[in-house]
Amino acid sequence: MEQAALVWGVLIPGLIVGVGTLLIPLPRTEDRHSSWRALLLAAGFGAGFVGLFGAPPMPSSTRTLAATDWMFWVVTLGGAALYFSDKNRTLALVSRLLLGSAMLAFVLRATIEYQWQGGEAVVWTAGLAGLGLAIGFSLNRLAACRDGASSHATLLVLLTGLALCAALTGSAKIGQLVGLICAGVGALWVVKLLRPSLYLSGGELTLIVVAGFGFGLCSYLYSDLPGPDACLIASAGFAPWLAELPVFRGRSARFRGGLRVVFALLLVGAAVARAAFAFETDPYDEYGC
Amino acid sequence: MRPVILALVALSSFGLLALTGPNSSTTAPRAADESGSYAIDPVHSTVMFKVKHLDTSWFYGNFAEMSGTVDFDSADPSKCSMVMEVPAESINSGNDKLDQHLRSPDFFDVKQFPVLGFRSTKVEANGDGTYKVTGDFVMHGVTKSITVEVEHVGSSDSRMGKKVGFHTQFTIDRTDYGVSYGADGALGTDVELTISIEAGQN
Repeated sequence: MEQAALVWGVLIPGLIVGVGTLLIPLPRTEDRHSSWRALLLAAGFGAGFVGLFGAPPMPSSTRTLAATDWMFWVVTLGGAALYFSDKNRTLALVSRLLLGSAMLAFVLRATIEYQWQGGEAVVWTAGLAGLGLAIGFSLNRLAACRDGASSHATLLVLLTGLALCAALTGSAKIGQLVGLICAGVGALWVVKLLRPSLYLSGGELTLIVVAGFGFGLCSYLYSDLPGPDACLIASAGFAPWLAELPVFRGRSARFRGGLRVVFALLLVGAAVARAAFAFETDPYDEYGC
Repeated sequence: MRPVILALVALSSFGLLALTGPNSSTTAPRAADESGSYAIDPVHSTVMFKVKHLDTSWFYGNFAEMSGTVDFDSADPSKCSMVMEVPAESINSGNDKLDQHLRSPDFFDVKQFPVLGFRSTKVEANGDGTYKVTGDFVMHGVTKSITVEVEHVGSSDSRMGKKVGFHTQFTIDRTDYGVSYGADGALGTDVELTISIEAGQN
């Protein structure tokens, strides 16, 4: 069973994204809005999801989908929507906002229904939407960044930290789902090392932010990701802005790229360490589940 | 002579016990008319499950809370109905960490799907005090129509009021309800549920 988790959870999504990126020739001048890798990330995620958890869940009158099930549709259909809408800037902006809104609506549904009352729901939803937008704007600074592979590395650190924290704090499933996106971004990072002219596009960054933020919320709201850990990981999303503070402006792109990775690594590392210490022993090993 | 005396003493002791023992005074008489509306008594009712662990042994757990109503008509089973709700949060395996995991999105996802439930849609007499009960079973956000055989265990009419009791055992495939974690061998997909209900008249 561990082998299946490794194959479907890491290898297949990584291969789909990595091989796909290598096979599709890069345009001479990479358009920062080009989103075809969003489609590859979505395909890798979809294949991994089906391999790990079976047929994609369909909503119906007799089935209410869990937030993690909705995320399957958000990521797969979102990747396609981002790809097809990226030729037109207005359409691309609208599809990104719609995707973010849909993700929030699906993920927060149960919390709004069972936990938050009236005004509380409005305040929380608005606050989380604002936080998601802020993280999105911050990470969007990585689009077309000329800083070696550090943009990809920053994303990889963020997603790996989130996957580990989710798995350590009670939900292996959420950890595996973040791991699917993580495997895709890891493959992009490897390709970037081989092909330096590969840059992150706005479309793929949107998909990564929507998926990461969505699964982060699932872990915080429906599993047991502690608030401080969630805050540490969310703060790491502001690493790109930190590297643009006036004090670092005169520094080289590589230095600022490295700074982003270190900043993200410190915050995410603290979150993972907290999660690991809070759950002193492996939460699954103790009872052999 | 001594054994005879001992035997007489023993016999008289048993006789005294028979006169003063619990059996003679606390067995409640069976209710003459069992029909009526009843509320499930959560203290004397049980929802248990068993599932295979590592294809090696049976693992048992239960839900500590439940509520609901039973409308029982012994003369006309078609007038019988039953509604039952079980808070998913009340799952209990005897191990806090396992309970925490069972409540997580890997299994029951209790913050999104806080209630497991059953609502009957059709009741038919099956003979021998058993009934074929068809109804909607809801778990993990999935509703499925199931038919189970329910045994009418008994009834009583005592100072604790009129009570009826039912018992059923059936198996579900948890993956049909979207609970697929560990279905690759760590945990069986078939889960046997045992539900025993004692309900008191409203």
